[in-house]
Amino acid sequence: MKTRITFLLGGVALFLSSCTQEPARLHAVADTEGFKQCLLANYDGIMRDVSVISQDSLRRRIGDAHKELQGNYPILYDWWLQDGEQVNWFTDSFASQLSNRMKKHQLTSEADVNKSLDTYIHACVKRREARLARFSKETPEVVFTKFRVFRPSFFAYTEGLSDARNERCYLPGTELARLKMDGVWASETSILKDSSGVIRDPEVHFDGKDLLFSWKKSLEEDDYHIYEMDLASGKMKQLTSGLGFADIEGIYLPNDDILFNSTRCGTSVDCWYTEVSNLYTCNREGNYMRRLGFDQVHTVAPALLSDGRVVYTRWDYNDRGQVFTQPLFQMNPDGTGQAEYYGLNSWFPTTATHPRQIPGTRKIMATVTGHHSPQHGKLAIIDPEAGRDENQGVMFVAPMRQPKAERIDSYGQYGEQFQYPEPLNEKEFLVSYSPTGYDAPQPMYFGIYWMTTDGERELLIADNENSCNQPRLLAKRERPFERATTVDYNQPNGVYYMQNVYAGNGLEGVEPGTIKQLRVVELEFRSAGVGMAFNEGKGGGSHASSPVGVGNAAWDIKKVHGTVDVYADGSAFFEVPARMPLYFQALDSNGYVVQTMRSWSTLQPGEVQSCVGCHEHKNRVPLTDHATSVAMNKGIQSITPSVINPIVGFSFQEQIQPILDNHCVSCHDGSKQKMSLTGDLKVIDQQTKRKYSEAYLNLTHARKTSQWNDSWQGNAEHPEVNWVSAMSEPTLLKPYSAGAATSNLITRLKKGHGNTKITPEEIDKIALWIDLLVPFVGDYKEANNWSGDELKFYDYYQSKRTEAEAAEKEAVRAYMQSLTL
Amino acid sequence: MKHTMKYTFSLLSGCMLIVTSSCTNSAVFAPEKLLADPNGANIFLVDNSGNKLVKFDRNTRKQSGALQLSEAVNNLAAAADGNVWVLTGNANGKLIKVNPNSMKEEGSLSLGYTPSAVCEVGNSNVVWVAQRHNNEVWKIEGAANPAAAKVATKVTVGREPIGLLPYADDAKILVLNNLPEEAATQFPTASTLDILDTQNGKVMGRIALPNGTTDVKDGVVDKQGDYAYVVHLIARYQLPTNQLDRGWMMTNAMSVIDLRGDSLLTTVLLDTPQRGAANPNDIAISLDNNMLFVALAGTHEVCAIDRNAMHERIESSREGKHLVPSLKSFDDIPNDAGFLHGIREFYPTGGKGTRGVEAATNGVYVADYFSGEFKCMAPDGSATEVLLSGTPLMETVVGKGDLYFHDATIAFQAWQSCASCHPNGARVDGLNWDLLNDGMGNPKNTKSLLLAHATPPCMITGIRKDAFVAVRSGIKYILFSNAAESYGNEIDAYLQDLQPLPSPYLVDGKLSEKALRGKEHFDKNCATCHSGSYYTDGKQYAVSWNDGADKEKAMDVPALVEVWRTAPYLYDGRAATMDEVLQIHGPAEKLSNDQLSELSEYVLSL
Repeated sequence: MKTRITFLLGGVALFLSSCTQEPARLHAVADTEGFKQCLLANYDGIMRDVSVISQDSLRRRIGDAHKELQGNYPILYDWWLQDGEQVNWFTDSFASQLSNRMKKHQLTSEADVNKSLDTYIHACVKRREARLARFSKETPEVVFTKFRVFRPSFFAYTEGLSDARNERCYLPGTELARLKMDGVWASETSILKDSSGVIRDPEVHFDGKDLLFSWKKSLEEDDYHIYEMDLASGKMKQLTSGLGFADIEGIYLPNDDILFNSTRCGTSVDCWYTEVSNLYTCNREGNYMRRLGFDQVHTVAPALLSDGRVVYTRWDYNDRGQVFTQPLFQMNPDGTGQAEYYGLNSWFPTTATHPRQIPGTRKIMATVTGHHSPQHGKLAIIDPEAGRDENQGVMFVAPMRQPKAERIDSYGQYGEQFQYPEPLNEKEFLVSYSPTGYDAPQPMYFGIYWMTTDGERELLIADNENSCNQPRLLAKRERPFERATTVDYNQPNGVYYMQNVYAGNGLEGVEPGTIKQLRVVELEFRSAGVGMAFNEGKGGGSHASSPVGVGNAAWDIKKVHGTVDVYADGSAFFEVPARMPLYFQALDSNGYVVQTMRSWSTLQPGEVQSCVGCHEHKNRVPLTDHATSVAMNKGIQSITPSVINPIVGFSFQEQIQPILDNHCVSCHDGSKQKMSLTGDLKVIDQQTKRKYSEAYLNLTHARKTSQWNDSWQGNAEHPEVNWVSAMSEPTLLKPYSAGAATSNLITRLKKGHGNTKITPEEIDKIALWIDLLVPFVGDYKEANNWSGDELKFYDYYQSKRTEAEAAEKEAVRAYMQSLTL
Repeated sequence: MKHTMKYTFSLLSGCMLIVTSSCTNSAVFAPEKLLADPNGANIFLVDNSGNKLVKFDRNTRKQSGALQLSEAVNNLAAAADGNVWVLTGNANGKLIKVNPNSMKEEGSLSLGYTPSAVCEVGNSNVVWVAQRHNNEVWKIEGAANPAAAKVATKVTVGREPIGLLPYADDAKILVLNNLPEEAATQFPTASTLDILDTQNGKVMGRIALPNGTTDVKDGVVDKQGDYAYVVHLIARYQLPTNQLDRGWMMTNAMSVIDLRGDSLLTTVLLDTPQRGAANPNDIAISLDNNMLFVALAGTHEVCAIDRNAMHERIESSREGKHLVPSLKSFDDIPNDAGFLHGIREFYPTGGKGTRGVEAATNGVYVADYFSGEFKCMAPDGSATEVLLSGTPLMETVVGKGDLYFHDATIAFQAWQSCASCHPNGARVDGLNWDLLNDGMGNPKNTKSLLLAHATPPCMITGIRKDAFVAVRSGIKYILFSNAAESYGNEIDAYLQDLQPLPSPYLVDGKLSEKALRGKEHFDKNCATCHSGSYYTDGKQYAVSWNDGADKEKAMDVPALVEVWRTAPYLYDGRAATMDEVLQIHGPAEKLSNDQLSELSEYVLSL
């Protein structure tokens, strides 16, 4: 297709002018003779080779056979595959392979293989006609994308940023295409092709006429931006722009605004060097671009539910391991109500993504994949009402079966592969699917399939030169519920109401009355990664870039805002700054952590968010059996500032070392007492690129690790000083599992160790340091041992982030102004 | 207006294929209560658009008779002698015996105020009638001949009795009371059930429903007489009204009463974690005793519950084995929207305002009030056949407003409708709510919306300029819908159309002598602020009994029309009765207790 694209000077509007339509290409069965020959030739060839070539060669040989047959006879070969027992069907005699397949059609094979194959193919055609009768009746249309399957090191690293910090997933050669059913065969027309770009994430408007998608046209001279196209005229509009910012996964909101993921947050992942995308919103012209997610790492694949909520995957590993923590989250379109949807405190699914609501139900269909995996994997129906953790609410399709709740990093990377489901109803769905998966030569080429939850399938469209992805039904659909927004950008704060802290699973077994306060802590994320620590614990192993401390210490910089009271009945009602990732710690009468939230929460300005208790099951409603709470009667509290005021990132050197200098180093100088508590930054860690003090390394009982690198790693389980490891398990911890309350050091100091004159306030500071997971730096650039280039590298992304923040602030201002017009 | 009846041809499983002919019915048709004739031939429908009792013949699948009554039909019940008991009217309540064959009155008896439920004890000669606005249950003897029947006993029960469920071989009656009767500041506060001993005519016990229970609508006893199932709301009124998600304000429930032990077994939520089952209005049990069917008036659905599976879960939980992942203890069942997962289904009726449900041999009959349809649904909800229809109530502006007011599907996740807090014709739920319009942590008592448009400003503090603004704010901040303008005008029209009921304290429609004496005290002490036709000057005053977060806040002078039914009183509902009000907000003049009682009588007569 020759599509001329006219760029309007200085503008964002694009027109597909004089679009020479390529004739539609029908994907029907043709050349059955060729197929039969190819099938037999491959079978014979492999059988001939089976005993003479190595296992590896055989695997390759079979893979090549799949590729040839799939490439040339996609539909015919798919029937052959689906009617067989296993993908590697080169086992038996050909006659028995054929006869077994024919039995599935209640047919018996004849001696003449050629004739039998004809009978078999005829039966397959008839079956297709029966299967697709309902779907094809209204001649449905589907839009889909062609691009090479994303293969990043972690499933969500797909931004391919022009100025990427590190790895860059960008495999050009793409097409936006349209599928229309013509009887039971699909005809394909091209909408847009770009041999040097990637088009992804199509999303059809509720009116069935307009289409959002994301497009990056060049490796370094463009980034993904959101476009909208009127499909009838081909008229296109670019909604977002800016080199160095990737905007992906746009969806329409019920009020016609757009929600999308963007790297404009300017942060970098904790456990690697790659950029992060968070959720943003703007209007349909691309104006008033506001940040809704203030999230540690990636949020992925947002989808709108009929009740107006947005469901998305949120990578979520504050103070816990990063491998198994890609749960599904939900929010309202204005960013309020951010909360767990499925699997927040759960090993399984490792990752649930590509959520799409099954029309007419309150269930979603999603791809279940791994952490160090591409986006494809197994296909699931998730019903959060059946349970919110592990496999409780997960059924795999097709056929329907409950999966085991396994703990596997690269989950689902075997056998058939699914990605990007598009449920049509409770039974039928469209999906990007590969029956051969890893059994055929890579890269994987997915086809667009019609499928049922029972496992019936028909291949609609395949392309032997590219992968077909992201089918989206091109049809009018009911506009989801438009929820009234309560966000008020004039207000700096939001309010939390907690009904009863003891009600949740997080404080199981804790005597009511134990919790006196909640500590409110802000997380501050890095702009870029320089240097790597190595963590290991029950949640697996990981790197930490621009590390905040030794291995196993906190992932992110912690800023303590202070505490609020929890009343005797467990209630609390308090105001916090909005648009900020905050987490809470339940404190006892000593001010020590009983339970800590290993996730975070964000409020929009003016939002009031309520919860029942400490990690209550999300299928529960508020408790009925209590009177109006004390908190309610007392009204909204402000945060009481902590010992660290003004609010800054917790730095060991700033907060703890002066105490040690005053009370400890007179003995603990490394010679009088072997355990040095001196504060000179004399230990240079080449791996983490930090300069540590002996005091810090000794108090964290750090040792050089032999895993991956030789960086310093703390011992989070040491009786003297222990803490919740950054690599702790994803599931809920027991109260008092670690921290100041279980560290001997605190008991020792309280008893008056070595007759020091250390004050209770100073002991509290040390306890706080432990309960924040022993951070060393309060600023990512503190105590660095970076080269000039590394400093420049960091500063480049830092200043880019600052500029983006300023632009966002201006967008918020303009938005507020627009409301008054 | 002419309305063509539409028929859906469907083969209900186990049913014959029904062939019906098209016919027209131009009259407004608003079916509510349903009664299946025990001998199987007929279904009786209450059509309250025209005070009509309609008979539908199950064999011919046609309307086979109707009876025009002079006042609205409140309820009906089958009589053992083959007749049908019908209750009509408010101030002039009547018990009418209707012959189902002739569809003629066999006789009637004048009763008290709003007879709302009737049941027989032993035989058709002794019936008990709930008198909603007398807060009493009356025993009628000689009912076989209603004209000569006598009221033998009057028993005081809870607030606004609306259902009577005889059990234990008629030795007892479970009385369902619609509203909480406590001060709203009291804990617990909830509707309570009474157990009436039919032998001695006394209340022998009370069953407290979970805290926050309000708007009890209906109940049913299983065929063995083991359990009663009572549908109602559980308001989570103690919380700020900042969100609807996960039943944060309102949940919709069914209490399971152990009739052998005269106690509450537990209360299950009809809601799911992601969508409410708003405004349960009626309940029926299948003929085989296996299924419970609840009419959800707010979501236009039938909620079908596998009764045996539910009891298995309850029993298992009592033994410490919890069969759903969200449940941690038996006591938490009323807080678990996951409890019925997988054993309860929702069948949309396709109509609007599902107010009545009755079990049939092969499915359920339903009455869709606003869309004017009487239907039969397959037992699995898969097919629906319209049996009777007429011009829907929702074709007029007021009718549309009435629908929107009762329609939870205009709210986020259908958790509640306007009628959840303002039930019974936009009146009160008896509870306090912490709306965010005047700050948080200062709950206020629900006001009746009667005359709201005529008495601006609105809300307890008068913070909304008028009811037009308040209606739209309610849609936005309480239902969380961005479509206030789509519903506001019609809801205004509906609310403006509401008529006050005369007070049950009036004698023959006039003030009693005691009330007349009370009027003098009122005119002298109260009428300055409580002035004008609705007894309010529309101004706000700081009052001495304000406390907490509202200590300095001025409160709007409330109208007093129909104040007899809007308890509890004062801005935070701290006074359960008018006598209690006068102890706190009494006249400046020192009055004796008798005089205060006169004043109270007058105010309650308004």
